[in-house]
Amino acid sequence: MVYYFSFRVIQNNIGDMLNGLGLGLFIAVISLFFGIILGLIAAFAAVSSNRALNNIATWYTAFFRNTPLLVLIFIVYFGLPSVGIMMGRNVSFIFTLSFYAGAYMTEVFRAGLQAIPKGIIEAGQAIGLSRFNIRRYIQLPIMFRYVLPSMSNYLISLFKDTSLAASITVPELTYFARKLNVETFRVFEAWLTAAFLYVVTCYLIAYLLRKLERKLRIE
Amino acid sequence: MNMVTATFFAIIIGTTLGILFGFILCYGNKYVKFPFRLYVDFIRGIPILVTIFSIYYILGFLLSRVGINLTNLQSGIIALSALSTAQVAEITRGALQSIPKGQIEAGKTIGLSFDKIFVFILFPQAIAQIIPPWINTATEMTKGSTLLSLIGVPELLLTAHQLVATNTRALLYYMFIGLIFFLVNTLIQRFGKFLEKKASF
Amino acid sequence: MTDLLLKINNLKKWYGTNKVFEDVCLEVRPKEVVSIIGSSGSGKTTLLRCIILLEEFQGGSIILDGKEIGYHIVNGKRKRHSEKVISSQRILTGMVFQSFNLFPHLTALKNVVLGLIKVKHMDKSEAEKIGIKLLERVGLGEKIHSYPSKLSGGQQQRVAIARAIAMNPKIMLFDEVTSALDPELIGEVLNVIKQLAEDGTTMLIVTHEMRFAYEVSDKVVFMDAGRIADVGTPQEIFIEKKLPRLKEFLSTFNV
Repeated sequence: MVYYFSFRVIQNNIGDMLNGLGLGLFIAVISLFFGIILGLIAAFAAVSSNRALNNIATWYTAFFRNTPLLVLIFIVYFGLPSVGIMMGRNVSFIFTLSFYAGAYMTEVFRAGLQAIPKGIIEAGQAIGLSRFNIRRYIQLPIMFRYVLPSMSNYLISLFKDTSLAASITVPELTYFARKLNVETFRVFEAWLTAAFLYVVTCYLIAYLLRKLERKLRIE
Repeated sequence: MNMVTATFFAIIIGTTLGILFGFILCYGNKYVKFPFRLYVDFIRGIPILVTIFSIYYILGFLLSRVGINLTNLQSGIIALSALSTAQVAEITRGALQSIPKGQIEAGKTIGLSFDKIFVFILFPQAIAQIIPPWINTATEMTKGSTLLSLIGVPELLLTAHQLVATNTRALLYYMFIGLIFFLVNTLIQRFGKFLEKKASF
Repeated sequence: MTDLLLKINNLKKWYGTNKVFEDVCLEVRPKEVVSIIGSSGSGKTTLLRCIILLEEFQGGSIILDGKEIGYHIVNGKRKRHSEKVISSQRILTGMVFQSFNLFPHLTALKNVVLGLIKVKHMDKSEAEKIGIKLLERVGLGEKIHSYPSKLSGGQQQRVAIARAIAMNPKIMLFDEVTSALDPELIGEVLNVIKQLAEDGTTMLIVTHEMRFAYEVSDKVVFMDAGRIADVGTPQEIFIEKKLPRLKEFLSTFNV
């Protein structure tokens, strides 16, 4: 059983892999950003008194959380063109992941909003704040403080989900790992490096976010 | 059909091993815990797809050296099981740890040995806490089975994808697949709520 | 008659099939301090909440400073005002809640000035000047930059009072503001309210603090099972206790 583990192979390809890693992070952050916006809109729709809005929000969340991400990716990238909507692969993936993230965020935000004691909202009404102002200056700031830990954890999860971009040949880390594997048959180098990079990045993000949380708590 | 097999085995194996691992993670001593901790953290730290590819390629490579050839489906099942084991282990560990220590002590005072304490006192209480996240894992396995299409396992998504290549109604096909998964998962969720009700007191 | 600040006519409120109160009539003159006492469930809190328009009511009217608030007649039908109008009417009343309800993410000062800046569109520095003065008036000049979580219950309630006063309402409503406080903290809040009374603030106070009600009120209202059962001076209500129900109720307070 002879297998020469070659660091040279890793060396030659680390550039590509790191680029892929960077792209993955970038995609994760952008998707989280859009996901937050979508999540906010849907969360307010979910708690509003309008029955129709409630239903739309519920269906949105249910659909995107119960359908496999890969199917969603295919629907957007392969399916939409057949009705005339074409997108480049990167854009398509970010689009899909944003809606996917938005569905998760909706749940998080909705729970956060509902956790705010009613009395505080009434206090806002009692001093004459408009509904919009209550949302903006009271509900949102309080909700964000509640959900910050979940949001930062989700970034890590989202980052791991970016690996699925490889299925539509987005030049992400997983794509390069597979390419390396298929072209050179160097199974260990390819996948152990990829795995290592992912794990380390996840730990780093977790560590940084925990530090950030501690800083924000001192108020 | 492969999708069902894959998911099914992944859940079964994952749950059994996962509970065992979780038990070890909760009650084991430092040295015993360590390799399991490493395993769980590692698997949960890398994307599912990477796990699937790694197992497929690396295990495939290693085993072919000793003459065993795994089918794509088998590698897929191993990979998914590995993931579900790690998830269930974490869930079980959390649930077991949240049971007040007093329960163990109470069991000891009436003379029960630890294994009996676990089976009759600890585990029944842990079950209620394990079920909701476990349903989540089950859902994830169903969704994860689609990833097996990327290692060539002929399942629902791959079949649709191949059909689509010869068809212009791509969107409908994919949305239909999506709908199927959506329904399956929704059913699983309902089942989960049902289990939850039965398990709580 | 025309110098009444608040006039409530035959107010009626139902909650589903439950009658909360009925035929409630009340008159409050400027600078008057009125206490409302009664057992829980008698509708006292709901009455206050109707005045500040946090609750709807099905019958009767509330006339504040000569204008009817909350509802108006449109095409012969009684309709509730739009959110926008309701918001503007709410600042005519100030409310202090039993559970303080301070905004946890804002400092004491910011709690007090939020309404001034966002509703009255005051300039920030001007608003803060007013806010600081008010907080000093309730004895919290040193805590203006503290967050609610760092303040005791009594201090939080005093900030809540300052927040309500800041909007310069025509009438202040106090809803059992000491019921959620530890006994040793009740005094500081009651002192602030007493001070406000001496400064001429018109107030409607729902309370269980009978001695305090006796000392500070011009008029006392006794509510029982959704109706106003008795109205009188503190002397009439607490000392003479003519109504048997009133006597019964007060006996539980060891007054």
